[in-house]
Amino acid sequence: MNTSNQLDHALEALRQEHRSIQPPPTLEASILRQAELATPRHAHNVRNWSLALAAAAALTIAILLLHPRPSHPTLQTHNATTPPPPQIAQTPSIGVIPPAPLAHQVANSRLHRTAPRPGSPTPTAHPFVLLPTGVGLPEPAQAMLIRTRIDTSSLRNYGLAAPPAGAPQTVLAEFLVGEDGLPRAIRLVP
Amino acid sequence: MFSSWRQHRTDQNSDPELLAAAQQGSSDAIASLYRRHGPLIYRYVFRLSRDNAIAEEITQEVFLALLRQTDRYDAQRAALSTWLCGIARRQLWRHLELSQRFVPIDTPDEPFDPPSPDDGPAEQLTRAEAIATVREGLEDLPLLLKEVIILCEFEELTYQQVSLILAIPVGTVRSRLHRARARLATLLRPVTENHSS
Repeated sequence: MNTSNQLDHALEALRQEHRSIQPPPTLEASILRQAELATPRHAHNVRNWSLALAAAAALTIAILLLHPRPSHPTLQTHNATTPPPPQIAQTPSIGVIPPAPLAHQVANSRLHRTAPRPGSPTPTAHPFVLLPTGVGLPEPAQAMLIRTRIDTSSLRNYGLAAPPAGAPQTVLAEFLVGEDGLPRAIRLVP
Repeated sequence: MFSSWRQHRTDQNSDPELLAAAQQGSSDAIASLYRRHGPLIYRYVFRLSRDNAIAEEITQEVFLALLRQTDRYDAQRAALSTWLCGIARRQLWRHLELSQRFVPIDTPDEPFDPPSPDDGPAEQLTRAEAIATVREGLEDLPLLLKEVIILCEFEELTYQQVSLILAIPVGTVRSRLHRARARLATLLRPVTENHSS
């Protein structure tokens, strides 16, 4: 064995020795602690921006739905001759939104504050109706409830029955909007 | 149980995926990145500085820098370990310069006596002696040669990876490694002669 081979063998042994060097276990905890201090502000900003963008998207959709243009292809797909879309019976969660997150979301929604105050008589809400434009969309993990006033003449566009004669010109309605900003269902608020 | 399952899942993710999650504040992702690359950084700094405290401090700084400068990392250009090692090296060098512990490399035309391949068995060191001699010689090497031995021989990184870490051409990595090995091999011979006499 020459010195070159001897060196190779020595380096191989020292490689094992080198690889056995491990950082102290406390270092990981220390790095995680420092990282937590370093990242929350950034993550918080990202969350805030995400929420702001989602809210802006939801508002835009709601405005577009409130003022449907006749040439809008998605609103024209459902008219009086087509049967109304299946009703989401009793609860808005079935087939649209998972129950727990939706309930949580609705309960915590800032928009929900526009609902009648506690203590005032609570009218029974109508069931949610799947929007024609919401058919085929993926189930959202979270949803937002947007309450707004819509023109009764546009109820058919949303898959709702035409208003009886003498009905008021506008009615209060609630839209379920997914986290992607697309509305899934609507219901009238008495 | 859930946290260990979650940890196991993040361990399977790629570095860029973990980086993205870490940037969003995922402590599991940060922990996975640390477990994957932390030991390499720590070993590298520790071997060069021979100081536990410096190794810990720089390893910590490297991971914090990673979280702050994620956008600077280009996965197409280098592996994350290579990039992190480069950060560690810059920080270590700055640290050594500040503490005046930096030992510049010797002149490239430094003479050395390469070992002869036909050294006889009588001139061989025992294995343990050879290891001890090389270990000692490694500590005495100039840092620029020592780090090449650590990265190429001990961490088994490619010349390309080492050239990115050291910010030098691949050819320079090769020549430094050659010189470092030659120095260590030379150290083996005199002791051998003493041993045989």
